[in-house]
Amino acid sequence: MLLRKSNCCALLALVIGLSFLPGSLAQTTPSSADSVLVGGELNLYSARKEALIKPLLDEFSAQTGITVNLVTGKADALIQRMRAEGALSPVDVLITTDVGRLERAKQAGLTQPLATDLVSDVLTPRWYDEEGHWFALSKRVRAVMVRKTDRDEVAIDSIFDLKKPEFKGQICVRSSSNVYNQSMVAALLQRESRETVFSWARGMVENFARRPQGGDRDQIRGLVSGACRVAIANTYYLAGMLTDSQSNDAEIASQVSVIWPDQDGDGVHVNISGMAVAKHAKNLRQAEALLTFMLSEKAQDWYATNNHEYPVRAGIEVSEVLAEMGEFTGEALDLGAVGRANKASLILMESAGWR
Amino acid sequence: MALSNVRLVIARSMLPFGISALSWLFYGLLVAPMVALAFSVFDIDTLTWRHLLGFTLPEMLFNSFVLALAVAVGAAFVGTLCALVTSFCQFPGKSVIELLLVLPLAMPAYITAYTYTGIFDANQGFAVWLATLGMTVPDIRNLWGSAAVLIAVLYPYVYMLVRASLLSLPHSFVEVRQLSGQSARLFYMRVIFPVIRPAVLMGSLLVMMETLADYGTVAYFGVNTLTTGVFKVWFGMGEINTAMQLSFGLLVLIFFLVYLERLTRRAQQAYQIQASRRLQPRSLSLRASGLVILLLLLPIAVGFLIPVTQLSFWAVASVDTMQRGTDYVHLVWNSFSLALIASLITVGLAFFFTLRHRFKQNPQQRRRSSAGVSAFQIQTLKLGYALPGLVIAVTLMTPLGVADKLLNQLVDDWFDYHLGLFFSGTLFALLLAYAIRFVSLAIQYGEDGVSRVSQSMIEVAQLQGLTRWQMTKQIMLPILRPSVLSAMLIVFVDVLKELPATLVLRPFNYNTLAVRTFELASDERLLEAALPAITIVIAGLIPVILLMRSLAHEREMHG
Repeated sequence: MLLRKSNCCALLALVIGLSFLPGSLAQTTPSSADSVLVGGELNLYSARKEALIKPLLDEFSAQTGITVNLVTGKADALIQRMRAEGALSPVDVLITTDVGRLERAKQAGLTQPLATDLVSDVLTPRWYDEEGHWFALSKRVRAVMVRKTDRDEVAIDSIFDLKKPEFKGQICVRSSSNVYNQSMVAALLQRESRETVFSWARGMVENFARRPQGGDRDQIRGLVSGACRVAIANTYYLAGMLTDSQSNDAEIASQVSVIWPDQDGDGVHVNISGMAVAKHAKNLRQAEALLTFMLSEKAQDWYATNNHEYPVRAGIEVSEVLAEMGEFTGEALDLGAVGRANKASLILMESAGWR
Repeated sequence: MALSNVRLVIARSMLPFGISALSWLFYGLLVAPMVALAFSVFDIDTLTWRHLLGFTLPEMLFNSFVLALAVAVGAAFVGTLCALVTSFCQFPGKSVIELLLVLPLAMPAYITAYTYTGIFDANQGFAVWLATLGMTVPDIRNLWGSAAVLIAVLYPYVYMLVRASLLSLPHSFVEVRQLSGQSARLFYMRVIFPVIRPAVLMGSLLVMMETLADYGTVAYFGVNTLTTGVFKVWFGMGEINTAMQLSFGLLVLIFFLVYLERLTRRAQQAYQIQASRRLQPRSLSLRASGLVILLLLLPIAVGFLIPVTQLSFWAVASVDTMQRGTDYVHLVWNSFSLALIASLITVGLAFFFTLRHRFKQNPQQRRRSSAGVSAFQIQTLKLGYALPGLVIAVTLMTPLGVADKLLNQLVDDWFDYHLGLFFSGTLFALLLAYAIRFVSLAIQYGEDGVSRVSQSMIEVAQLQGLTRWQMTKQIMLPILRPSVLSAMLIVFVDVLKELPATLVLRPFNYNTLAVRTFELASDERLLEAALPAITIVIAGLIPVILLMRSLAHEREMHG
């Protein structure tokens, strides 16, 4: 009775029709008085998860009147999509959480240079591609962490110390398939010879407390639960745990202390989240407006206080939680080179047995 | 008058060609990824392969093999045991238990994995409690933990198939055994197991394919399988071709397994016994009932009750931070409508192929070889299930991009109009991906349903002068209705849970519950992920319950 043909057809037509409505559920953009209304649309592929980037994008839409159409996903999937779509691709801007993927997009010919004075006014040349193909939006630091009670006993000056036999069975770090580790090792390859980095990786693997598993937060939890003594994770995650009011993550994270390796040497590993303008972008004005917005004081301040990442713009204060972790010296490498060494770093890690 | 007759005759004779052409069009669309994979073999990057062979491939092969075997054996054991018990025994609360046994189907495997990780976390309640007893919580993030999670989530596939085959068992079998005084062991070995063997094997094959295609669980637990290897080579190294070659290897392995299963089935003829009385379950004593219920509650608890309870706690705890209510309405609407359309299309395609094959199996058919062709089509279509969703998505992108380019050129030349993307980046791509991945499931139901149409029925219909279309409408469809419904329900649930292909192919501003759950969970915001996760489970419960109802209804009709 329910399955009568006419009912089925009507229902089907209704559902299909409604689903093929223009995909962009346009966001209502209240225009504020003191904004520069650009209007129009911007098509965005983001490797940053929606929950993290939506608040900023909503603010952006409110300020500029630009409707943002968003697809999130893994950076490589998005890059492959851009490749397949070719000249017909509707995307204007690609946002990633790692420099390796930005470089990969550039090398694949999927980006175009954006010439703007804003960038050179606000950023130091380290933080953008010399040809203008990509721009950093925030910094993410990968540090060494130990329990507060172990702080005085553990002697780690450089990341290369972690290969020493005294740390056998004590190290927690996530899989080599993660981009943050790949970039970290890619950066090490810029600092030292391949042999040095390989022997370090081998030493690390022998010092693993357990097979690499889970994410960064799991490594931090492993520290506190006693599974390991030393962990490598992004400060972003530790800060997120410290400010997490719902689970007992805050209590766990409060027992953790951060060590900045290589302060007398090359500095701690710094990665970026950034954006690139797509080669076949149609909405260039809107893309530039996004870059301007992301580098504005307001947005950079948001990155700092809400997301606990380090701003790329000078003069912005970091969040309290990050400030408590202390000051540090970061790497001063050519990010582009770090990005290009991504594949080599993965091969090195796998050869060393780092799964 | 004569002219219209001639037209009709011509149309009728053209129809087989039309249908044949249509079948090849659909077939072409559905096997496009596999063809793309096969072609990728011609461009081998020796450097990458040397690295793979030297360092990671042996481990990946071993893990995949052991995992698939362990999960298949475990799920077969659990599923068959539950089916045997529920078929042969009657106890209080049986209808509820029967329903509960199927519920793990509503749980996406990666959600179960994340949940148990949270439960067994060394800093959480359970571990703390165990510590007071002087025990440490077991580490589940390894091969065996993954196997346990997958068994808990996948056993319903075997359970349902074995149960269905036992349902059609005539009670006379049991009566003969009672009369002859045959021992229980002989009875089970000589009589029951041969009857359920095809169902067990088919269920195990499904489970193995699902296991080999799984990415979320094994990646999170740190187990290196062929699938995680494919992704690593693709993501980490950017070597798309090598990743596709690995996927092709996976496909060949599955093809081999499917072929084996086919061989075992060919040795057995399926008898559709029109018995007068179906199997009557035997009532159990109170003590035995209690034991049986406890036994059956075990897989239910592990596969459904425990994760759902934990997720509910987390969801309630996170309800303060739940953002926009309207956002959730959109998510639910997208998920549901997408799943509905996908199941309609997929089941439509599956039944198109199986019906066509059924007609071709008519021994009076002039061209016997064409039955072989349609059989080949069906067998290769089934392979789609073994492909991870992500692989399907990636291998679809390029051909769809090419199709779009061609279409745009045509439209531009003829109408001077810029069309933009039509196939890629729209729901077309997504629906096609779902069809490729899940048509195998629907075909299983299609084959099962179509086998119930006996040859004599078709012959009688032909004698009556019915055309194939009339035959389909008047005879086949009523018989097939329960199969169609079951197929639609199971595809619906699977599309609802589907993640990787949805992530990659979805259009702008289009999110589903699965996407939202994944993004939050992979960012280790387990609490916030619980709410969309449990929505998927609840949304999946409705079709699962409907499915069980339709099976029970069918049992009543035949019993």
